[in-house]
This record gives sequence, C-alpha cells and structure tokens, in this order.
Amino acid sequence: MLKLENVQVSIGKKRILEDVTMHVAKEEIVAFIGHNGAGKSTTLGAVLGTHRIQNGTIELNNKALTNLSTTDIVREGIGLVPQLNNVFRNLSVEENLELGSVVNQGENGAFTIEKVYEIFPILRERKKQLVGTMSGGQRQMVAIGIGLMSNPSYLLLDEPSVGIQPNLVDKVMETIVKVNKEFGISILIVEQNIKKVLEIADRVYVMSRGSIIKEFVPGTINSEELWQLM
Amino acid sequence: MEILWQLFIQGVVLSMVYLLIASGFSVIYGTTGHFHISHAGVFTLAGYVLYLLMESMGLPIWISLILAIVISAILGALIYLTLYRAVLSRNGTHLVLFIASLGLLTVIDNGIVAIFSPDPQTFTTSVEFNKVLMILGAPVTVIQLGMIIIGIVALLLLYVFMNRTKAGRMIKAASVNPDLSQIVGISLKKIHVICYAIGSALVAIPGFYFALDTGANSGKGVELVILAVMAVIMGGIRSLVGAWIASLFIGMFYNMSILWIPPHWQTSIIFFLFLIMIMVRPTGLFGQRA
Repeated sequence: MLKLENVQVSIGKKRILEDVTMHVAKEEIVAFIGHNGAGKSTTLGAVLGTHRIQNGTIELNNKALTNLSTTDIVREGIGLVPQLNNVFRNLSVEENLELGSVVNQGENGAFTIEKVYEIFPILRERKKQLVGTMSGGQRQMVAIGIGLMSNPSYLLLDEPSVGIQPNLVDKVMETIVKVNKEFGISILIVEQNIKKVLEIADRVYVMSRGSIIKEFVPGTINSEELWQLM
Repeated sequence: MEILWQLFIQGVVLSMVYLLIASGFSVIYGTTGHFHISHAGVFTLAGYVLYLLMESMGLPIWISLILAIVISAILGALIYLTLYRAVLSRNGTHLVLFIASLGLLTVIDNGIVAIFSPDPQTFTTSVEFNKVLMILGAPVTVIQLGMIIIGIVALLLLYVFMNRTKAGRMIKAASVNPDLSQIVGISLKKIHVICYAIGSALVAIPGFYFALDTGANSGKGVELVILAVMAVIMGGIRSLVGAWIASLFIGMFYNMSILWIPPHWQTSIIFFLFLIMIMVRPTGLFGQRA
C-alpha cells in the first residue's frame, strides 16, 4: 500500500500542500480531482521525491520513501507519467521506451518493450520515429509506455487526457484499466475530465487548497454535491 | 592556387581546433546549462600536464597523450564535483556559477604563470613534430597532421558514443528533458560528471596541439573558447552537427579570407556576421525553438 500521512510541501516560501493524508491499496485505481492549483501534481511530485516534503510521511508497503532519492523511489516500484514534457522529443519511440527501464532493467517480470507494443500496437509501427514529430495522442502513449517500462507496482498519472483528441480519451482510459487489471499495477490518477475518471476509479479524493477535503466511492454522491465540492 | 591550397590546409587545422573545443563546450553546456568558461583553463592545463609527463617524467609521447587526456577528463569532472556543485547546492544561480568559473580560470592562468613563468614551456621532443611534410604541394607539419587525424577520430568516437550507446542517449535525454530524466531514474549528477569528463577530454586535444606546436602557454585558451562558444551558438545549442558546421566556417573564414580581408578586420567581421546571425535566427542553424 502507498500511504501518505500529514504531508506538507512548500515551494519557495509558499505552502502548496497543507496536510495530505491518503492511500492507494494494491491493485486499486484511485482518482485525484480538484481545481487547478489545488496541489494534485505537487502531491505526485512529493511521492516521487521531486518535491521535498517538510512534514509528514510517505510509505510504500510500510517502507518510508521520504528520504530516498527519486532513482531509489523508482527502484522501489513507483512510476510517474507527468502531465507536461513527458517524452524525450529528440529520441525515437524505441529509445524513449528503453530509457524508461534505466532503473529496473532486466529484473524478473520486468515490463518489456514488446509488452508496451502489445498495449499500443501503433508504437511498434513507429518505433524508429522521433517522438517530437508524433501527434499528441501518440506522444501520450509513449509517455505511458515510459512509465510502464520502469516496471512499477504503483503508476502515478498526471492528467493523461490533456492535449489529446477527445475521441482518444476513451482509449487512454481503457488502457489504464487494462494496465491495472492485466498487470496488477495500482493507479493513482490526477484528472480534470471528471466524468471519464469516475467511470474507471475505485475511489476518489477531492483536493482543495493543498488539503484533501473529501474521499468517496464513485456513485455514492450525486453530481450536484460533487460540483459544490469543486 | 598553391597559396589557396596552403590556406585551405591551415583552415582545416584551425577548424579542427574549434571543432574540438566547441564539441566539448556543447556537450557540457547543452546538458548542464553551465557556462563553463573554465573550459579555457582545462585547455591550458592539458598542455602543461602533457609537458610535465613528457619533459619532467620522460614518458613516451603516446603514453603521455593518453594519460594527459585521462587527467584532463578527471580535472573537468573535479571542477564540477567540487566548485560547481558547491555553488549550486547553496542555491547559486547560473550567473554566480559563471562568475565562479571565471574566477577559477583566472586562478589557473595566473597560477601557471607563477609556477612556470610567463614564458612558453617548449618541448625538447617537439622538433620532430614540427617536421614539414608536403601534401599535394602544401606544407603540413607532423603535429598539424596528427591534430587533424586525432581530431577526426575523437569526433567520430563522440558521434558514435552519443548516438549508439545507452549512455549517449541518456545524455541526449537529460539535455532536452532533465525533469523526465530524473523521473525515470537517470542520475543527473552522474550524467553531468560524464559530460564534464568528455568535454574536458575533447578540449585537451587542441591544448596538446598548441603546446607541442608553440610551447605550453597560459592565456591562449580564452580567445579560442570564446570563438568556439560562438560556433556552438551559431550551430544551435545542443546540436553537435551545427557546432561542427559553424566551427568549420569560422576556421576556414579565418584562413581563407586573409586573401581578401586585412587581418585586423577579420575578427570584427566574424563577430559582425555572428551578430547578424543571432538577430535573424537566435536559436542558431540547427537549434530548435522552445
């Protein structure tokens, strides 16, 4: 289980995360929603060690991640697909995927490029193409592929539907469910497309001004109540 | 025609000097963003290291060259690991780092003068390296020919390393997207150390050439590094090929234009062309717009 307790993060002098307590259980899909600037992406950064936390603890299967480097956190089994700048535009599809496995290469049961190609067949056809020349949807596939190649047990996704055509959003969501069900990878997904994410999530956290203000299971609150929270 | 050919050969030699300095600077700056003006200091130190190995220790030339390249690479990595890391870990900006680098360059240049005297330290073995060969009617010294051959080999090795090895791809990845590089678990510190080592090994080669040709001397590096930096910007930051083309242009221009342009105008004209170039295309020939 990935567990955050009373996590506080400041960037410069500004406190971004006030007090975040949440968890993601094994093989669960947890959605993380809230308005822009609420602190969702910062929370993901704190888990991966790219944002230093001032107070609180972050644990993976009862092991503290708090003082580990990002490389060691990736090695522990956390992968992140950032919202922006999530590919290496000057490298080919295959080179991007190879770099995803820098930390966990060759380990037993490790995610392989072939498995990524099975999930996204179009990437096999374009494996030699420079990623910077691909469409937004295809780049997002590469980004998810890079995240998977680190062989994570927990994959954090930061707004995977941003910047891709609406008709591809369903495909991305299907892929996330497939990755969760077929490979047993737990998912923590930040998403602005609330309707879509509620269709795939097991649980949802609502964040506002750096704190979790609500936790619920999809279907247990009506849309009016949800909009009031947002 | 004979003069033109001679100037062309000299231009190739000078271009190779700029090519190697610019490639080293490009590898470092393109990945770290550090304006490593002490690159000029490593250039100078490389010549003196070679001098000590050959003249004081009496080692053969080939062993000295290899050892001096390794020592130069270690020196470059140490500059990053000690001075620059100290500045950056205390939230020093890149401007502070540049000033620190300038300070180090001053320490190196003046320290060398204090230790060795301001006079060039000439090699007793350099006589045979100044032996003149005739290539298609143009006189070329052994050391000039060696510079061209070693330079081409070094640049080919660099190209293969950057494009055919995983470490090279990691450097290219870190140069365009350091945040994602960290997220996938690439250690930026290790990548930066490798870049400083490679860049310093590359700048050592022209350092050896000048030391063997005219004697190890302090203060020559800055002028060459500034022109090489100009080549990096003209070619496009992070584009090795761009830096190579611009270096060739600068080297050839300096030698070939002497037929038509008085020498005292050459530097002004090359910088004027540079200014026009960055006004029209600030990203350089092969640079990508942000």
